[in-house]
Amino acid sequence: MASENKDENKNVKLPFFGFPILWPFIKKYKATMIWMITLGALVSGVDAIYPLFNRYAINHFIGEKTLDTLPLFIIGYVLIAAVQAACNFRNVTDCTKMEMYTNRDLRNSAFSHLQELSLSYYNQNSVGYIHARVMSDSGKIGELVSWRTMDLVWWGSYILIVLVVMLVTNWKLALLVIALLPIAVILVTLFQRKLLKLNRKVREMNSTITADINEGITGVKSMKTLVVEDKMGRHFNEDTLEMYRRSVRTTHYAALLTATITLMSAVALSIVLWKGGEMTTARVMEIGTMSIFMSYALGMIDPIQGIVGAISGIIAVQVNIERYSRLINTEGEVYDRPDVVEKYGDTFEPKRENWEPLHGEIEFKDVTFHYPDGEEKVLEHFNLLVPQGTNVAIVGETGAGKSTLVNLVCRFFEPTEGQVLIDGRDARDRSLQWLHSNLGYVLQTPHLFSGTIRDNLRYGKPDATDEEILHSLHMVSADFILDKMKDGLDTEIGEGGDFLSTGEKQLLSIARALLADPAILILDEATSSIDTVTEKAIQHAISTAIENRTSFMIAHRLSTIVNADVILVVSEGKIVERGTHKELMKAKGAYYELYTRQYEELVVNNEIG
Amino acid sequence: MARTLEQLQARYNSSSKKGPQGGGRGPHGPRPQGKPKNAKQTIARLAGYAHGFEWRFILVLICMLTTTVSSLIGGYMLAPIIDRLTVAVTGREPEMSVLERAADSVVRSLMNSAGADTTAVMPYVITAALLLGAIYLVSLAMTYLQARLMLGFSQGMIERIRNDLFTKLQHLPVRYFDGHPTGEVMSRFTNDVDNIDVMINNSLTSIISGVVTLLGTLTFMLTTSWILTMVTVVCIPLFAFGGGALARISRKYYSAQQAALGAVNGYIEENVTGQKVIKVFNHEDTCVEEFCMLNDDMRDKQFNANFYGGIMGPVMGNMSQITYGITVGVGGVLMLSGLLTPGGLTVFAGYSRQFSMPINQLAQQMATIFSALAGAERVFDVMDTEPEAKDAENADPMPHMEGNVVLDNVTFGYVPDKTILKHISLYAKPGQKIAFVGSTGAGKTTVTNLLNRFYDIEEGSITIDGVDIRNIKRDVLRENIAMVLQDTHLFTGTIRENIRYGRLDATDEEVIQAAKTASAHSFIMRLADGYDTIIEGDGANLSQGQRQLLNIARAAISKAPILVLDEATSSVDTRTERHIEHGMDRLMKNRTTFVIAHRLSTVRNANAIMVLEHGEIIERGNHDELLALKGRYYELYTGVKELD
Repeated sequence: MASENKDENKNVKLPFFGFPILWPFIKKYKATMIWMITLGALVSGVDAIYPLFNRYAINHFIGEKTLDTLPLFIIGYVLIAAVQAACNFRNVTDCTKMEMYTNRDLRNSAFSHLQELSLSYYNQNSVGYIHARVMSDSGKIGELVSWRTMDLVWWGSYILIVLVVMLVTNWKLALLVIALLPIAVILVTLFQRKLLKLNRKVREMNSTITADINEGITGVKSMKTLVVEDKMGRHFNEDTLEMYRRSVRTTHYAALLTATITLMSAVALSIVLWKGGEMTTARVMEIGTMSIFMSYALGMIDPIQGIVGAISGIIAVQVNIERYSRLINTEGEVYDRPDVVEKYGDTFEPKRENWEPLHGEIEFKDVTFHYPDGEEKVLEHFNLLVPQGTNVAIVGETGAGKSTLVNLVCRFFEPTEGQVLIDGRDARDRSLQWLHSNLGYVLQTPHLFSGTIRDNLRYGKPDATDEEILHSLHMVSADFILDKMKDGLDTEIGEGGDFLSTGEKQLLSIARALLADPAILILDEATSSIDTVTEKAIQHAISTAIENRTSFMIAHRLSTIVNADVILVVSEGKIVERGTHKELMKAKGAYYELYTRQYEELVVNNEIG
Repeated sequence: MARTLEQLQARYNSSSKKGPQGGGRGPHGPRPQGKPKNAKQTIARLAGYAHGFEWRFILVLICMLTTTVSSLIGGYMLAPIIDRLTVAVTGREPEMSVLERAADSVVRSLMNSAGADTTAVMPYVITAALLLGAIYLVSLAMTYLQARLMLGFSQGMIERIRNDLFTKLQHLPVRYFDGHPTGEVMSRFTNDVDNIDVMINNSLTSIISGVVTLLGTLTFMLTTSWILTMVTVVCIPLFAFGGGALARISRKYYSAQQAALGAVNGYIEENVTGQKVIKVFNHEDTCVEEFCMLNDDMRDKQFNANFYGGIMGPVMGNMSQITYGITVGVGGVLMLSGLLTPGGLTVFAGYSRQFSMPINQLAQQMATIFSALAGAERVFDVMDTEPEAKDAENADPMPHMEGNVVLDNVTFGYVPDKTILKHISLYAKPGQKIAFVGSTGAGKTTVTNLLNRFYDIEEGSITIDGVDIRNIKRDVLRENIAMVLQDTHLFTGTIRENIRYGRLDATDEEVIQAAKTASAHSFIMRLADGYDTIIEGDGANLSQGQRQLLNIARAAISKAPILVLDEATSSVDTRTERHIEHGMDRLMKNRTTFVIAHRLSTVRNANAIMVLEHGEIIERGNHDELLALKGRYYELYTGVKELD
């Protein structure tokens, strides 16, 4: 979390402000964007020339004291205002469209790309982090191509028009006022930079306080048992006091900024009054022109603040562009070769007609492996032949690396060296989809999706009939779950299957895996305690499930282990022993030690729950 | 086979409520949430928090008044200047309004005292400009002062509210948290307090300054030209109506957008956490299809919400241009008929632009204020919750506790009519080890919850050294019971500090000793900063097993005579558990210990084992006795043999 947060404050420099990265996304909406910019510039330009009406009114109606052109003047004025309103409407439409459409495309691309990334990406990045890439980075970029760009165009055009009008109407007075501009820009920039920093500090403090509160709530029991309420309370008061200090400091600068801005306007106005007054009395300049200068001087600070704000906004989004492009450019570590895709199709367009049946013989041939984020070799020149229909049990302590073999069989990772052969052919010669469609996986923490029981079971076989579903539930003796549910197969089982116990979820996930009748079954047994009824059902389900299938089980239950055809003993990431239960007990090695030490615990755990 | 949009939204939107709660606000600032039930009372109570800041607030008001009035006057100073210049150019003396004459005479008297010629044009303009500058400077200083003072005022109040709330939070009974999920309590602190903050800091300021500006502008406008004022005032409903309508539409779409956003968020979250299953079942394409559907829907709803939000500013801008046009048009006619001076028209035009601003502001602030008041009510609601019962008047400070614990006929349920424990009686002599076994939900943890008075019992009594625990000072009671729970919280801070939470006056030496007892020393030393390693977010950077070891160390450092171990080593791997056994023995020595464990080997050497089933003790005795009894314990324990 912490490092991810700090990321936000990083200053990133991308070539051309990241525009080349964004081009593919903007390209589609080129026309909208051009309209947006053109109309935006126009509308803002009209805003800038309103004082010209003033001048006309003063010069003609006041100076010349005639009302001849008044109706025309009013019609002209209202007409321009109406045109401006229409343009404005269109402009806001374009801008919102630009934001939302680009945003959607960015999210879609990110999401689709995520589906193609290998599991190692998901292991290395937290849910929150991935979520933020899809949602908030896209959102910020969407804002950039719409409102941020618009800000720049708007104020840029405004300033340009104002400069032109001033120079044309009276270049001497114009130059005097313009001389103030650089000073104003520098001051505003300095202040904004300072404020940005201070605001960041306030936000940091704000998250500290939020964390304090969160801790106060989630840790309330611990706090009470340790009797440290006073200490925590004092700590919290210190944090809120610091928040107070930082906020006041920020306001101090914000108020100074406002003051400076007002001062700059006042200076500009006094220059206009003084020099302009002289020019007017000397009849070198009309009063109407002076009125233009007065309005510009009074309102000169808005555009400056606007343009400085727009630029700093664009700079702030650079980090989002960079992170987004990093996600889009992350290559999956596991992918199909082009010739494999050619023959077997890809995720989105599988060519099932070319898929061979999978029998389920698996061979590890001289496999060496280390995880992408680690140096240590987990497997070294590992060889193992698993004939079709064999049950392999993998045992060892938690964190010993039991999932490695399973990860390789599923092609969640590829061997660093050597090959995994499936039915005698390198796994990489056929597509991931082909393999996965022949593979059943029951996770230790079974993941069920939001939806009905039917939806969840059909996950592996979308066209399964209710009979098939009921049959597979019956096979794993999970009928009793259905009996409990008032809507039967139509029962909604919330996010992650909220209303079921872990054991029941596991049963459903075994049924789900069996429904697709996979040739290979991977089973990661749950360690958590399960009540006796469900436990019995699970044991039965497992023995049914592995019958006549090649299976790999990360096993914790004695019955599963003892009955396996091959037991692999894993310790500190290496396979230290292999053989049947009898052989290994005779060998009196690691397995024997593990077995004699743990069996009591294991069974007792299972029994008591 | 993708599901339909409606199905997806129904399923995933609900999950958004469980999403992370931060101080996050939508892109449009806080949105109105509910309406205050009793606004008057809430405001009075909020005002109570301003106690001691009264003078500061009065100063703020003065500053605000000065700022607003001086900027109004400043704007007005342009009138005599322009008229003077017009006279110089056209040679015609216009009919000035009362105010303008007053301003004119001030400038002239200033010139007089400086000994200048009051009829000369340039000196007049310069003097007036200087006066204008002086007024601006005053307004400037006041603006700064006001912002400073106001922030001190509002932040001071917010700090008090936050601290009060936090203090309250700590003294709420554990029961409160059973009925209020973390997210909900969090939102009191974050959203609700933030809304109050915004209200005090921004809304209050803008309302006061809005009203002052409105009245001031109106006065100035009326004295300049009442006819023109009428024209401007007539245009106002236009604004109010247009703005209000837009805000309503936008709000409607906004809630639709929030729902769509919730669905998308929920979908991504589930997709990321369930990625393994998705890959194995080849569901990537369906997921993309479903996501696109949700995404498209969100885009459309976002478009609507943002469009109506975004169009507001420009529409208002355009309207004020139109008002301006009308004002100038009518003003022109008036001026030619001699009812208005050119200078008057100039400042009036400026005022007419300003005039709509405070009205808009006021309309917008109302929503914020309502939502802040509703938030304040929720905050006060927490503050009014009954805290843990106060210690009895004659509560025993128990300077020295032996650890003689007796439960006599204890019956208890978390909610009425649902008894969890039924007639539990047991005693533990100092230094004895009592174990509880039984299936989940049998009431093992409940026993420990009663010991430290997280909940008070309804029937029966619990005594320590013969004193009913309800008559012992709560702090003393809890200090004397060291608890190691399955999910004990680690606090933000260093490892050293976390262990020291067990006994705040422990030396560094004792901290290390405790860590060694808990077998935590070796892994701590392997961390980059050893004992000074910072623990973040409840120890997210440590494994579950490591966290449990730290909790054991925390118990080891305390000198409490009573120790409760509730699944204390459930996540420690078997090898480490063997290491720790020795340390645990030392930990339990001379302490009355209550153990809950599902590894039977840990409870085997207890002095007494209580087998709980459905809230009742169905068997009790030591290991050998219970085995000989051939009852439930025997069944639990010997299930092993049959499998062998």
